[in-house]
Amino acid sequence: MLEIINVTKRYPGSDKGIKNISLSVRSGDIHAFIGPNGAGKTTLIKAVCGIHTFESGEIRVGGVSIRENPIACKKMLACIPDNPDIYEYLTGIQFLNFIADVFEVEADVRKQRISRYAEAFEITSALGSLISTYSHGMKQKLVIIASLLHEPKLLILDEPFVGLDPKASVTLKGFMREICDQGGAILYSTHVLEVAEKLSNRVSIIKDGVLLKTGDMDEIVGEGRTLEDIFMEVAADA
Amino acid sequence: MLREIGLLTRLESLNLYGLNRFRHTTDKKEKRRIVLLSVAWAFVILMVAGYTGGYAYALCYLGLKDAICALFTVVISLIILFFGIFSSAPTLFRKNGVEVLSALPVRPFSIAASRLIRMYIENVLLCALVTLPAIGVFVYFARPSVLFYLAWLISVIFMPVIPMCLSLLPGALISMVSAMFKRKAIFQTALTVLFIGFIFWGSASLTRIEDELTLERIKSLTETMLNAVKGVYPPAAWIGGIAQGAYEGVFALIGVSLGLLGITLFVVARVFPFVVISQGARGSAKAFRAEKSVKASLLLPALINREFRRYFASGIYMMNTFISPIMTLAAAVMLSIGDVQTAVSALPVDLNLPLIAAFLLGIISSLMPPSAVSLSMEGKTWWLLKTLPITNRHLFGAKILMSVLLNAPFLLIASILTAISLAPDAVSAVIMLIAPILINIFACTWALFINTKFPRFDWENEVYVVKQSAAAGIGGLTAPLIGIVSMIPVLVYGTIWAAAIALFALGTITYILLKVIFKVSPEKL
Repeated sequence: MLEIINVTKRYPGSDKGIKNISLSVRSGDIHAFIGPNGAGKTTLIKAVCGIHTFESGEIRVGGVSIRENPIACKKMLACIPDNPDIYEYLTGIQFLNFIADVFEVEADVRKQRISRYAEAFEITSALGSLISTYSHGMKQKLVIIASLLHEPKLLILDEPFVGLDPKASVTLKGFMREICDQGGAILYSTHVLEVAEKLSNRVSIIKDGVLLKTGDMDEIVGEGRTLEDIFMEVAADA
Repeated sequence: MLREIGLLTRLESLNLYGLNRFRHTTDKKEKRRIVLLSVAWAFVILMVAGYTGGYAYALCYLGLKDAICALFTVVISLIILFFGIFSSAPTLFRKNGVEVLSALPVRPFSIAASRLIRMYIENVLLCALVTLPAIGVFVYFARPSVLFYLAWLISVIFMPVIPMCLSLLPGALISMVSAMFKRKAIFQTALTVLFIGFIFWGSASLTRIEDELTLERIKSLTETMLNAVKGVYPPAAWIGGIAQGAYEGVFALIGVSLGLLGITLFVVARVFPFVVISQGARGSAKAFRAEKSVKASLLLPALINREFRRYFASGIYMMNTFISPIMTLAAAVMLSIGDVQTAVSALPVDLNLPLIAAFLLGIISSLMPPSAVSLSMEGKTWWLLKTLPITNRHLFGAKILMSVLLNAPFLLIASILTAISLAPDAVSAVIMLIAPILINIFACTWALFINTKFPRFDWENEVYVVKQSAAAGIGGLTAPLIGIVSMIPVLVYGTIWAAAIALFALGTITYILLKVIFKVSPEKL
């Protein structure tokens, strides 16, 4: 579903960025992407979502190159950033309608999905209010709902559990599993290693812009160890 | 408290004119951009200096050197007052940073005071920039005593206070009243427009009670105007007096400035906490109902709708760009009710008034179109449009269309009014209807093109984007200039063909600009 091949991205005037990152996310994968602060997780996620360009390498979504056909790629994916800066001058429902219009989700279908997801995240009553009145967590929930409306094949999340209450976190995990059961794929970054270990079947570890490890969670963690042990070892060695 | 205010003012002033960003950024492209912008501003400053110095020289040449101090007091006060009406309240009450500071042991009044001081510093710099060249010329011709220099220095320090307070007080009260309503931006804009209309009506009334200007009195025009202004605005008389060695007016200036500042601080202290707390605090009284609220729309109308909602959500955005449709209507009314044809026929050149009127309406409507800053106004939400499957054609097309649609009703009414009053032939009438809208389409496209070259998404205050960004300055002001250039063939030849060729040229440029805009990579912005 997602192929990242030797991608390099440098920020101007800085040595920060990512170097020759290669990883793949298959249909059905929940792929955790972990690393210290400033490692390059968000940089890679932004490159995949089309927010940033990248100097070299290739990114393919569903076999389509994001450089050659960004629109086709973006139709297949949905992006949830770590900081939900969205349109505060719209109400929640106006924002959802706008996103659904972009993805051409029919009225009946979107009504059904909005109702379902809004009830699951318990923000139905707030959808008529301006987004400027929302808390951080409510904005996060709204962005999650917006990203699910068009049933993306690839869901990219940057630290999705930050700001969510425990019930919403459980709900989100449920929807993530549902997407994968239906043949979709998920790539997400997180600092919460216990969640990553339980939720994900694959993991990649990045530090200082370089990919240190990537593979199946069971293989990387092994018997009698935790993801935290592996992370601390790998991050210390690098 | 003074220590608090000092610390907060230092924080506010740290990034004055982007200096701190320039000092610490490692991005060479960003540094280059700031340098280029500074060069552009330096050029503007030199032009202003040349203009004010030249104007002062002309006054000295006419034997009116004693009028320089008073005249430039009026000029700078009007500039601070006019721009302050639009920008001082949004600057004072900007939401950014308030939450972080409110969590610290600082008083809300200290936050407000630090922002006021920052505005004051910017106004003093502006005052010095505008008046120094003129005073330099005055000093050269008048050779005043040492006391003059001291009096002038004090005047420069206190001169900005009165117009700044006069622009801030109504803005603060309007913000307080608007804060009680859900649709703050529209309410704020309506109140501000009413207030500005009141000022214009008041100044028009005042000019009626002055002496009639006749041809014989044309030479004493400056003195007549100055006497009138001194009567209305006493600081002009107080500061003007120092040119003739009458320094007592300086004490009056100090006293009134401090008094008005005290009143302003009193009002701000009461209004500030209420306004900043109420920002974003109002919820909706309406319950959400899926049946009524969930509506499908095509992509382009959805994008245009979003652009309109963005526009009407920002008072400063509306106020800064709504001037041109109003001026277009006003121009049409003037052309309709004034005896323009008689005036034009008295000129030594033969002008085709209907065609020129058509171009003029288009040019006036081109001033500061919303598309000049519509890309930058995306701000921190720009990431969202970049992740959505929206083509450039839709994305940028919606911005241009929104700008055009905003002007369209005013242009249509203006064109019809003017056509009715000037009664042109059939072909000229068609041009009178088409030309203004075509010129406006060009202007909106050109302005957006400039914004793609000078985008800014990391702003903290909308005032910066709408009033101070390079896109606003270059895109918003050059569009009408290009429109004026396109009008030259019509002025020179006055024929339908000249108008048609000019419009065709503008249309071609618009087409090329659209091609360029649609090739822009949003990921690189």
